[in-house]
Parts: sequence; C-alpha cells; structure tokens
Amino acid sequence: MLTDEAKLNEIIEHWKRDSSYLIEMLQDVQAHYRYIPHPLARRLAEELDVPVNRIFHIATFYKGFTLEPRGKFPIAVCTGTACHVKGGTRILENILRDLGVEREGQVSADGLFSVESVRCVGCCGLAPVVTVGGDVYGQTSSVKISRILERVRKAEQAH
Amino acid sequence: MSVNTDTARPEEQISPRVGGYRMHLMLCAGTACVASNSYRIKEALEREIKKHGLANEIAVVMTGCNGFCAQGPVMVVQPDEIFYQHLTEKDIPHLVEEHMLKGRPVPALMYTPPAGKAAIPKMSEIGFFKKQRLLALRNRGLLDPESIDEYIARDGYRALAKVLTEMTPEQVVQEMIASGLRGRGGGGFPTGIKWKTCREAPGEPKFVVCNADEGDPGAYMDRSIIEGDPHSVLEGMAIAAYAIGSSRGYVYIRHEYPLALQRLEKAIADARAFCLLGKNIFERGFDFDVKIHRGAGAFVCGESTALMASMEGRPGEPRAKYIHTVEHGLWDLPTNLNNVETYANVPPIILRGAKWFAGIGTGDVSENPWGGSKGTKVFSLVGKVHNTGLVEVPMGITLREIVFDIGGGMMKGRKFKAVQTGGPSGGVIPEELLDLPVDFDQLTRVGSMMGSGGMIVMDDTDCMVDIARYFIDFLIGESCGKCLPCREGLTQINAILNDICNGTALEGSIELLEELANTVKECSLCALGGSAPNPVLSTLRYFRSEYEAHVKEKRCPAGVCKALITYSIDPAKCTGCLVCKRNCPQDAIAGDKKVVHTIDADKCIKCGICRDVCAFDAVIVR
Amino acid sequence: MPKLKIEDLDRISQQQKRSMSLREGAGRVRITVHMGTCGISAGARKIMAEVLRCLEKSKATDVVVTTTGCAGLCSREPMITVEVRDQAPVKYVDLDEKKTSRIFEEHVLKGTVVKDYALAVGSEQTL
Repeated sequence: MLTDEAKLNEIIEHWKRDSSYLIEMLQDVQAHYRYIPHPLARRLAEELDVPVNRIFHIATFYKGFTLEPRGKFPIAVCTGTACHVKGGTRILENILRDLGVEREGQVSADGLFSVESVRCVGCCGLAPVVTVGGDVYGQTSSVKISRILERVRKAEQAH
Repeated sequence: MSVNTDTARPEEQISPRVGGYRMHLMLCAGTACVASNSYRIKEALEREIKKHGLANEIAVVMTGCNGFCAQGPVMVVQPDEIFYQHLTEKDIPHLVEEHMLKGRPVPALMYTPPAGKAAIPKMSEIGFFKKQRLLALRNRGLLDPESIDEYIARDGYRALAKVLTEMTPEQVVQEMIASGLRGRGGGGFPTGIKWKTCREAPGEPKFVVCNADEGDPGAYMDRSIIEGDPHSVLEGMAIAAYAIGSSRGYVYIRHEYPLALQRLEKAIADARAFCLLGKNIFERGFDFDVKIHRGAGAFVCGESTALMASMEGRPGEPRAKYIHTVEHGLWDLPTNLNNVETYANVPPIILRGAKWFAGIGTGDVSENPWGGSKGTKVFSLVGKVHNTGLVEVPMGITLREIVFDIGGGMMKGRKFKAVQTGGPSGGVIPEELLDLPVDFDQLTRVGSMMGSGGMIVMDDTDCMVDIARYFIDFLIGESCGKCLPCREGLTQINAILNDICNGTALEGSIELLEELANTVKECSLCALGGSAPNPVLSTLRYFRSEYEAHVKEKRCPAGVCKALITYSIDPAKCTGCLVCKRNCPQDAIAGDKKVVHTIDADKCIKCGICRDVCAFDAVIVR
Repeated sequence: MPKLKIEDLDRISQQQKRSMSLREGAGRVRITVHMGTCGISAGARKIMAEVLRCLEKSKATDVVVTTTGCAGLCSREPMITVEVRDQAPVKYVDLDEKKTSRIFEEHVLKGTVVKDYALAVGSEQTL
C-alpha cells in the first residue's frame, strides 16, 4: 500500500487540488499511512505544482507529521504541564526502556510499538495520561502501562 | 491519535426526545470520561433500565464535559441533581435497581470530600461546583451537544435573532465594548475594540476566525466548550460576523481533538440544515457560513499571524506584529480572530446586556475597556490538588478559593508550593500571593499572566528549576526558528538550566541566565519569544534560593533533579512486602519477605517505579 | 428542512421544554411513587405508568415524578405522595389507575386535594 496513488489522488481531489489545503492533505496522508512516505510527498508536490521543499518544510514544522513509519500501536505519552508534574516524563523514559528503543519515534524490534511525547492530550484532569493505539489511559503509571503493553503483545502473538 | 469511540458507540441517535420521561441520567461524554469508559457505562445503564422495564420512564443523555474530570465517569441524575462518580460497569445493576427503580440514591457512588466522612448527594453542594459561576459553560451537563433542538431550548440562537432584528452592527460593537469582555485566549485584548477595528478596516471580504488550536499544555477549556456546547461558539461567531460585516468564518482546531472535531462538524451540519448558517439567515439578508481548518500541531499557531499563515497552507511562522491582522490578516484581508471561550461568552452578553456582564468581575470598564476584567474565566484546575477538572469562576476570585475551596486542597496532604498560570508564556505564583484576586492585570503584575486558563498546582515535591526547564524545552520545540533571540537564546537558556539541574553549573550561572532571559524577552519578534523567558524569570523571582541550592550546594530540595538525588528505603516504614523489589527494572532492590529492603545506589537508575508502587510511602528521595 | 424563522425558535423551545425542564430543578409539583418491594408487588408500576401517561397527556412542564422506597405502610400500597411547592405533602393510599388519574387531574393540575383517597396531609417528622 506504500505508494497507493489512487488513495493520494482521492485525497487531492477531495481538497479540490487547492494548495492552500496542503496541510489538510498531508493530514489525510498521515492518517492513512501513519507517516508521510517520501515518494508520496514528491508526487503531491508535482500534482499541486508546489516546490517539494515546501512539503518537507510543513511536514517537519508541524508536530502532527512524521517522515518515518510508526509502530502498529503508536504510544503517545502526554507531557503537558499537568502530566509533567505528575511524572509523565518519567513514564516516557520508562516506556523507552521497556520497548528497548533509543529514541522517540523509533519502532520496537517486534514492529508493534513506537513511543513519542505529545504536548497535552487535553485530559489534564486525568493526568498522567498515555494513549496506546488511540485508546486513552488516564491516571496511569509506568507499571500500569507496562502491563497494558504486555497484554497487547500477547494478543498479537495469539493472532 | 484519536479517542476510540468507533467501537463503543452505536450509530443510532442518542435517545428519542419525546416527553414523558421522569428521570434523565446525564452521563458525561467529554474526552476524559470517554477515556474512563463512559460509553460502556451507557450501554450497561440502558441494559439494566430495559431489564427493569423502565425504558419509557428514564432516558440516558450523553452530555459534554461536566468538568469534574478526575472523578470520571461522572453522571448527574435529574431532576434531583444527584451526582455519581467513578462509575464502573459492575456498579450499574445495583444503582439502577436501587435509585432508578426504588428511588433510593446510592451514597457509596457519591462524592466524599477529602476531609469529610459523609457522601454529598447533590451536585450543587459539592465544593468543586459550589463556587463556580457558569457563563461560557452555561449549558454544561444540561444538554446533549449533538442536539441543536436542545441548544435552542436553552435560548440558543436567540441572541443571533436579536442582533439581526433589533440591533445595527454598530450597536452590537458598542454593546461588546460596554460589556468589558476581554479576549479569553490569553492576551486580554478588549473584544469590542477588536471588532470595531476590524469593522472599520478597508478590504473585502472580511473573515471571522475562531482559534481552537488550544496549544497550552495543561489547559483544555476550549476542547471542553466545543465538545459540550458547539453551537454557542457558532452563534458567537455569527454575531461577530454580523457586527464586522463578514460572511465567512473559520474554526482552526487542533487535530488532537477528534471528539471536538466530530461534534463541531455535526453542529455545523445541523445549523446549516436549520438555515442558521448559510444564506439569508432568519430572512434578514445576512449570510454567514463556517468552515473547519484542522491544525497540525504547532504551539506557535496560537499566535495570530502564524495561525493565519497555517490556514493559508504554509508553515506557521509569525511575522512582525506592527501590521495588525484585524486589518491585514488571512490572505491579507481584515480578519477578526477570537478564541473559543470568547465567542461562547457573546450570546449571553447580547441577550442579558452589557450592563449585566459588566456587573460581574473586577475594575471599571465604563471609560476604559482595559479598566477591569469582567465576567468569568474558565480554568483547567489540574496538578496536585484533590479535585482536578474544569472550573468557571467570576473574575476577582482569589487563588486560595480556587485551590482550596474548589480544588479541595492539596493531594496526599502535601504542602502547597506554587500555582502555574498562563502556560509556557506565564509564570508561577507562590504561596504568599494566594490571596491575589485573579484577573488579567493582577496576574500580569505578579509576573505571570491569565493565558488561556491553565492552572497547574504544585507541591513541595515539584522543583521550580525543573519546571522552568520543562517550559523552555517545550518552547525550543515550538519556536519557529525565524528570529535569532528566540531560536538561539532559548537553546542557551536551556543549556544553563541543564547545567543547574545536573549540578554542573558554575558560580554566576544564575546571573547569566537572568541576563539572557531578559535579552530574549526584549528582542524577539513575536509574542512566543517575547514571553518565553517568563517561566525562568518568575521562578527566579520567587524561588531564587532553590536555584542557589542547585548551584552552590549541588542539592535539589524538591527531590526531582536526577543527578542530585538518591533513592533509599526508610527502614521504619518498610514492611518487607517485596512489591518494589518485583517491579524494579534494574534488580537494584535487595531484601526478603518481611525483611526491610535496601536499594543498591550503583544499580539504581532513579526511574521512580519503586516509589510509585510502594503502598507505605517508604521510599525516600533526597 | 424549511428555512428557520425566528418564531420557530419558540416552537422548538416549547417542544423541548417538557423534557428539558426536568434538568432545571424541582418543578411546581412533585409526585413520588412509593416503589418498595411491597409497593411494586401491590402494583406501583401500573401507578407509575398511569402518572406518566397523565403527564404526557397534560403536556405539563412543571411536574416532576420520582420514586422512593417503602413508606412504611405496606398494607395501604400502592401509594403516592403529591407535593405542591410551598404546601404540605399529601399521601394517597390504596390506589388504582382510575384514582391516580383523578388525583392528577384535580390535585396536580388544579391544586385541589382529593380528600377521598388522601391518607394524611404532612409527613412524619424527620431529623
């Protein structure tokens, strides 16, 4: 599915080929592929007749985009202020260690997870907050998240 | 990332809205409560209600955020206003049988205050709700955010009808100026003045933009308003459009808020179906429609020129501010930008009058629109207080009332240290200023700011140097990189703060830090850079001794900065339960069952898990 | 959907009012159906259904219906208590659907106590 051009065309047509909706188009690409594949970024530039560096400028400027694939279950650790004071940053470090990855964005060896910090999910009343594959876990802890990850791993193995 | 509502949520309309119900179960469906499984609670409630044959008597209504997020999922039973919290699926059969069938409320599921013994049944009697005054959140928990009919029944779109039939655009502008409403996004610019300038600016068409790109970490009031009452924002925008002479509106909303986005889309579709958006609204010759722009995650896009650059499909880089966006905004045309909460305040001001609104709050705005802070402000009260959530209070209330009366005091009986307001552009406020009345000018005076309304409460285990470093680190990531003082200055500030936290800072670092911070403040291009050093300057102002302890004594008094602390176990408190030993990822803990444990400092990586899991508070950090 | 006129706001409000007023407080009249085990076995569910039917028919927006447990007078179930704001509550006993409908008509809507079915005016003292 990596260079599914039909999908890209669908996205471009949906936004009526209007380059002022470039950010929206990239969001749709990101939502579909979970990252912005290089070949698609180039195709998009050609189709809209904008310089390719503008696409990469946008894709690197905004936090919502990533240029490398994420894990099957992306983990987002909220490090908004409320989560920070309740230990969110420590949870992030502990997940990195748990996954055996060096840095945020890197996919774990089994391909299941990647972790990154996000600035405020908007559930500050539930701090600290972590999302795993889109599910929100509030008032959580390193130990609880590690159990959740273990559960996901087991469920995936069973498949 | 998205809140997973697809699986839990059937497509059907929530509940048929015919009369005849004797009881409404107002179950919160804000993001926090959805995360705490409120849709499963809904299913369980409906199942039990059906089982007891009560389906024609009792309706389950999903509402927007109730505000008391830490207690989620929460539910209010009307007409008696009985407040239930922390509901789980297994509570539901008992609850439905006892309360819904037999009329006996269940105290075990009610709120019990930290110091109290008895549960409090009524929502309005719980301290968290008692001191609140709801204007922007006037419909909170009272309506289904996906029903335009319910919004109309709560006086919705009547303010729009009023301006279209009874008021000229100039009168609307005058009313807004007289009300003293100031921008709720943080700047505190008088809304009426902004509308007036935009109205008078040459150029067509004009735009009305709503900033829903709530970027402040620790603040979520805008998400809550859109999720809970999206029509109030649309109505406010339509009134602004009429006043300014615009027919085109945009909502710029964070992509991290999928639920808010979904409800806003529904609200726009419903308003269009009723011709409350579109051509010739109420047959008064006024056209207005709203489109949604999804933000892609950039704090700097809260800055008006950056937001508009982003809406034009470019990276959100600010430009010099001497050209105002009210005159040269989106596509270089006059653009009125207000925040979500500001728009939500507009309909009640129109309906009840500027005088009523100006009667709430501080100061006097009759001569000077900057002369006071009127109305209310929504805060996200979070951090180390007992009751965390969203609160709306009249301007002029003291911090003490917010933290101790509404917030219920500090968690775990710890000592209050500071409250941080204004997000990364704001500052900390120490204990000696707790009796400060909260308004725009007072907060600025003490070196912080109102900001969009984040209020993060900190206790004696929070290190102020770490907090400053946290915000600077955040701002480095969010600085657009266009101007040098912000881009390079923040990096250097961060380097000094890292040295301080690591215990490697030299004498004189604090003075250097101060000088650099003032330079960045003076010389940056936009508001992000200009206010970026505030967290450093305000922590230095009130907690300088804590910085000095790091530099001179190589000590972190709050026990946060890893390089300066060690973990150990208090033999007097340790019961030898093995829990910490089992959870330690480094096998750094020795000890046997019922034998006091010890931590091997060489193996310990200071991850803090032992302290998290210890039920006896036996892990000491020094 | 035809274009909404300003008058339509009133119409929609009115339609919603009955259901929404429930969320705004106590109402003018409060009807309590006693739903203890005894009440239910004596037919309190039918009484509840009748109360709701009358309410629906009358289109009243200021009547609140609730349930409560056993009133301690199991032999006289089913029972309801009708409480008009600022007046003493009235307990009705030995009810059936017809009696309930009459109480609704005369007491709830018109404010005249139906003496034939009333057990007592006022409640026992509580703390």
